[in-house]
Amino acid sequence: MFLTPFIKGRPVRAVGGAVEPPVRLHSVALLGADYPGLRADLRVKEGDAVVAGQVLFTDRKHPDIAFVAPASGRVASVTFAAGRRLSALIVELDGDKAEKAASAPIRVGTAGDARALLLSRGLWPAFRSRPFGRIPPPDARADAIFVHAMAGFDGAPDPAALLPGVAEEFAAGLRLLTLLTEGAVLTCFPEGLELPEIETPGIRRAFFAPHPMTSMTSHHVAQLHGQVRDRPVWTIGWQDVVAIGQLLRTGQFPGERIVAITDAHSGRPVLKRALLGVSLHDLFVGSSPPAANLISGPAISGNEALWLSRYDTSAARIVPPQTSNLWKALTSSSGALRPILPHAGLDTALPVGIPAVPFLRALTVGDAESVEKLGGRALVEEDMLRASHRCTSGTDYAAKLRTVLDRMEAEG
Amino acid sequence: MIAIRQPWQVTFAVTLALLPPVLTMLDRNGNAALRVLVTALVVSLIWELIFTRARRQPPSWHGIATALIVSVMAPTDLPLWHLALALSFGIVIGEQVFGGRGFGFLNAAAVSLAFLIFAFPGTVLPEPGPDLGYATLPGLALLLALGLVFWRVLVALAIGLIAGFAVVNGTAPEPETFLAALFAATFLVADPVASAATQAGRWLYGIVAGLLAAFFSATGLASAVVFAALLAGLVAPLIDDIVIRARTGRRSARG
Repeated sequence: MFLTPFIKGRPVRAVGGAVEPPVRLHSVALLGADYPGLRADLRVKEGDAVVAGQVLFTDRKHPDIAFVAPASGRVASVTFAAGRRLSALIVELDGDKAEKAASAPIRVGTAGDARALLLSRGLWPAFRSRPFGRIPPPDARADAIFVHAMAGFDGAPDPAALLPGVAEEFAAGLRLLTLLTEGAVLTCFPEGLELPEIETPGIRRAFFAPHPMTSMTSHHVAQLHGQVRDRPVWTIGWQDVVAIGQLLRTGQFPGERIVAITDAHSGRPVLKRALLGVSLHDLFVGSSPPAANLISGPAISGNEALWLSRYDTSAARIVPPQTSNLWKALTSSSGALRPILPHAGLDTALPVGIPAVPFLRALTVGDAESVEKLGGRALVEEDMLRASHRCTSGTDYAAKLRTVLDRMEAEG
Repeated sequence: MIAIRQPWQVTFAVTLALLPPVLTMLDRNGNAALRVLVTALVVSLIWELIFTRARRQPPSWHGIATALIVSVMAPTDLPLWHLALALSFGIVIGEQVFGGRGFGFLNAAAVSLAFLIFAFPGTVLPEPGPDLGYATLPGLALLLALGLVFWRVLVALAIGLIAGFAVVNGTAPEPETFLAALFAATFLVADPVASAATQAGRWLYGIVAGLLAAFFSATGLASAVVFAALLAGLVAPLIDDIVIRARTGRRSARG
């Protein structure tokens, strides 16, 4: 009751080890919420049969950016939110009945080739740029590319356990990244990870201590690159780099991802082979207790969802705490603004040493100038997870940050 | 690891921390102290409920903690309407007009006690003894463990006190002085809402509060710490602003 312990949503260390094969997966979805600002130009309609890697829609503003099917199946539904923005495109899987195209390696020689390949084959959305955390436009310049291969504290799969098994694909992916930037490709590993050195100019490695804040991309960018206002960077996860390597090797779209799932009941996280945008019900099939919430991403994000977000590699099932009605009447805040009460837990909730309380206050009132002054331009939603979790205000700071970033972006 | 997620959890922890000092005070002063305590609780809860109702906010119940702090530090023989007026001023002007605890930047108990001394000349806060200091220790440990008191503020306060005494008296303060000041230091100066919010700012804030407390100490230690807490709380936002400016300057110089 009092002093909610973290136990139900403990921010676990990254998990490694044996990967369980999936139980049968029934559906995957591409979610509009993953691509803020996207206007989808549909290339399929409900009922169409699609194969893995087939273009489902493109970005109306940048028609070169393709969004593709993670696996083969049938388009079950396409729903829109307000303003004709895509809500979700759901593909019912057919268990790969469709015949696979013959696999043939792809050769990429020039920077133009590399961009065209990733754009047309659906891997471009793996990149997000800083500032603002958006999919970069096809012709955008990156002063550096940051590859996140850290053992996060959010229950994500541990690259230390998994990367050695796919080291060749990873290296091939990295080499392709070097064609996309004139700057460095910075791979950020946890201390102690052993991987053969890649002898390609432009690829640099950095090792970071296992700590919640030093495992954040924002920390890496601040340490190795500096400000992003005039020198934008792109970020990408290690599994997406491996996927690029697989695309080069096989010529086929690699929709598979290893997802770490944490169940509040069994406690121990396990790794499962799954798909991009996989249905969370499929991941947690079996022992489903009533009143359990499925979460895309770390348990503390509280991000209830039906499908895995494009950028998440972990999922959790939590059981919401039960509270009596009397207790709710005495303490609950039905939508009312609650205060930010400073406490030591908040001071360590933000990366890059940003002073938490002034920053959260500025976000709460949408004070873009102060947010900028405190270093908010380089942050994205994931950086706000711990602050939202720990603050007494109950504010969703990720959403507040997005609002402020949108304003900064509009004002330039 | 324990997580603070709700304002009332903070109130609960602070109230728990206040119990040993309150019991010490009741044990020492008996019925006179009980009378002060009950009046303080009734007045602060009335104001808290009026304001949270009007704003449709959930009550944080922090009025309880404010009432307990004031009861421990106020003289037990004061007229109850003095107490009621002082608490009303502290809670309404020091806290609720900003939107409640956590939206303002002052400690309501410090404002109440300062009002008591200013508005009713002749009110003298009783000098705390070492027993109050000892009774504060378990609560201090709890608040430190929960992160609701910043150790930086307390260490800086001690540094400020030593430096201030050296300037004013030419000597270091007695160990008993620290013990006697511990209650007010914990619940007034180190209040996370009144303290500076940046790490460097907390050092500065604590030192400012310690220096001020030493300079005012001729009028009695208890009121000295009250005024030191109040004035340091007033400059805390300025301290944070300076720290943030310095940080921004450093970043742009580097980037």
